[in-house]
Amino acid sequence: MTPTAETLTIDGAAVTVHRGGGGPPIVFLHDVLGPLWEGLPERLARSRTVVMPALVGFPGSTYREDLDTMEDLAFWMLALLEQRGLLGAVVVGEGFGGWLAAEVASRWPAAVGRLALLAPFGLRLAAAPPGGLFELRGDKLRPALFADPESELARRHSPDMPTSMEEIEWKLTADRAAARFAWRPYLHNPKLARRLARVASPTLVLWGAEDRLLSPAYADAWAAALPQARAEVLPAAGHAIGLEQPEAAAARIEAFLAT
Amino acid sequence: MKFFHFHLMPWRYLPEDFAATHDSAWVWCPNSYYDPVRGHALYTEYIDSLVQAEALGFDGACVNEHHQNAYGNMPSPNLIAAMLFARTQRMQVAVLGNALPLYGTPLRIAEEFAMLDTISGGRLIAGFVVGGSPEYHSFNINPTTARARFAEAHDLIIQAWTRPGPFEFYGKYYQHRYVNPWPRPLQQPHPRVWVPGVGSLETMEFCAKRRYAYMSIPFFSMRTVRRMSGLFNEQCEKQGYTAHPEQTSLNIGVYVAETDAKAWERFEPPFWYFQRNLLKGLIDINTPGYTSIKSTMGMVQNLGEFVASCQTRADLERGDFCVVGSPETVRQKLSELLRDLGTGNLLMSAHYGSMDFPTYDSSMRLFASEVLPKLRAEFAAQDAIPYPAPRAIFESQEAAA
Repeated sequence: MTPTAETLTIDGAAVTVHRGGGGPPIVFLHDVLGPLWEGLPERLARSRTVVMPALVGFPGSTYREDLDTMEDLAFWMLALLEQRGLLGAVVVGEGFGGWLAAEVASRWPAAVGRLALLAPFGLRLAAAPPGGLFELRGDKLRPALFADPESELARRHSPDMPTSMEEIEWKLTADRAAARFAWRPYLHNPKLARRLARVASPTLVLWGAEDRLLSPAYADAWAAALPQARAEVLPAAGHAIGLEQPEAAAARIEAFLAT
Repeated sequence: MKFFHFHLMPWRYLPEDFAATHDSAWVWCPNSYYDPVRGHALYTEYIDSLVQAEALGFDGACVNEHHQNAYGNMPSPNLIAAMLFARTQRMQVAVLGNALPLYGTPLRIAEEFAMLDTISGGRLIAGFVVGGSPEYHSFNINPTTARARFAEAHDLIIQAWTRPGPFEFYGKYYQHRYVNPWPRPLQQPHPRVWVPGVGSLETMEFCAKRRYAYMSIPFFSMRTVRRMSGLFNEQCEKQGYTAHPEQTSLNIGVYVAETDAKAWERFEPPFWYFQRNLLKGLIDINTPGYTSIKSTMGMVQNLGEFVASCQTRADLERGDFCVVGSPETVRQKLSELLRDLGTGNLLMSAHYGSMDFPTYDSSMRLFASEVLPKLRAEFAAQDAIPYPAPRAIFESQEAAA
């Protein structure tokens, strides 16, 4: 199914919002690879209306010099939920997007409904610091994101060398946006761990058993910091759960939303 | 014509199999390879080499800031500059440069450069650089802020040198309630500013407006250097003046021996050590947002013009990546290139990679006795052209307000 795409101006930033499926809405917040419909959003759109905005600076959105912290992005996200009548909607966030969901939910607990966080950034465990991400190219990035780095899927999303100028532009744009917000402190907010106690949403935390960017030890840390959370670990999944195991991830999310 | 001896002070003792077993000489190249006892000897040799350039007839030395790599062992070029000033009488030192965005506050740069200029009696050339992309990993500075930090740091430094203090500077990245550096620079209004560029029009315009020098980098084919030089000259014309020859440079590897064959024989091994080991990682490490999307895409299409793409001597000769040969071969070639570019600065990379002192020194001496005087005489007319006074222009949003 092909999603529709419309351009909206949210808090001064023009962004593409992808929408597909039918039924109650899910706001889907994408990871560092950018707003990809392939994988989990496509799969969730079978049972729900999936609304996936291009986050500020990522492909499909304007770049804004003045928006450069996760706090800025959280305020922007709140404006989007308000403007689109999505306050209280289910939010599914992967990696970078999961971190954004947690920033919003800890600041304004009533702004979001149930949460599914897939290997979210946002915390830092001294015993298991995050692995490399921004410095890695192509073949070196694949093991950080995929359980099977040599699969066709992994090679397509992180090729040794991008094959077209469009692919290069997408990659440069997505990388720049992620680095803009997550370079330092690296992939986390030191204030977040304490603030997670404010999150009022029942939350499903999903982790890939073979996530080499953020180890599954983080799943337990999130479950411990959130008041109403349960953590589940998916086999044969790396960091990019939604691309690598869309069926299994969707099944867990649907089961969680049905309880 | 001004002759500068450009030096990187590389680490020359990487293991034989380094290129096969390591993906980078930067950021994560293990510093267990650094042996301080050998390091002491290397510093002594390299510093002596630059000091000796004055006696050999050079106008100056160029030192560079690099961090946490085997490529260049001058994390603080200002320290080297201080030593060179203490041991020379008339030579200029171009610190090319200080990496403005890497400093906690660029006020430190305004202070140190002012110290160097005042101590040396006005012999400093102040280089401002963005810093190499791997250094954003080594110093953990967000590379997406590199250009904005550079612009703001520039404004803070130039204001610190030219505005009576104390004054307040309240930028996005740097905030000071009291800017009031002691000492102030001896050269007025401030030392000449050099900025190295890799081809972006924004940097050319930045330099052209302010009458700064736009310096080339010794890693590109002559075709690329020529194109950049032409574009910079156009930017100066747009600003209503003709670029001074010393606002550009030819920055190139030069090696001289008695015959062309001998020169290549001595030059190639240390050069390939440099190219195969020390450049490794400079462009393979991903640094998001360090250059604009447009510039990066332009570079991706022009990788063949970069020295890392060279495999053979023929590749080096085809792109004029270096000038190697007998004194007469080198003189002819340099004369041709310098005339073609219309530049008044020869920044000569006289040392490459693993080159040992005798190999380096014999070339330097031949160049100084057989080549340099002839080129100096050939380009003497340039010396009469007055260098334009700098314009104080501030563009970071806070400083302009």
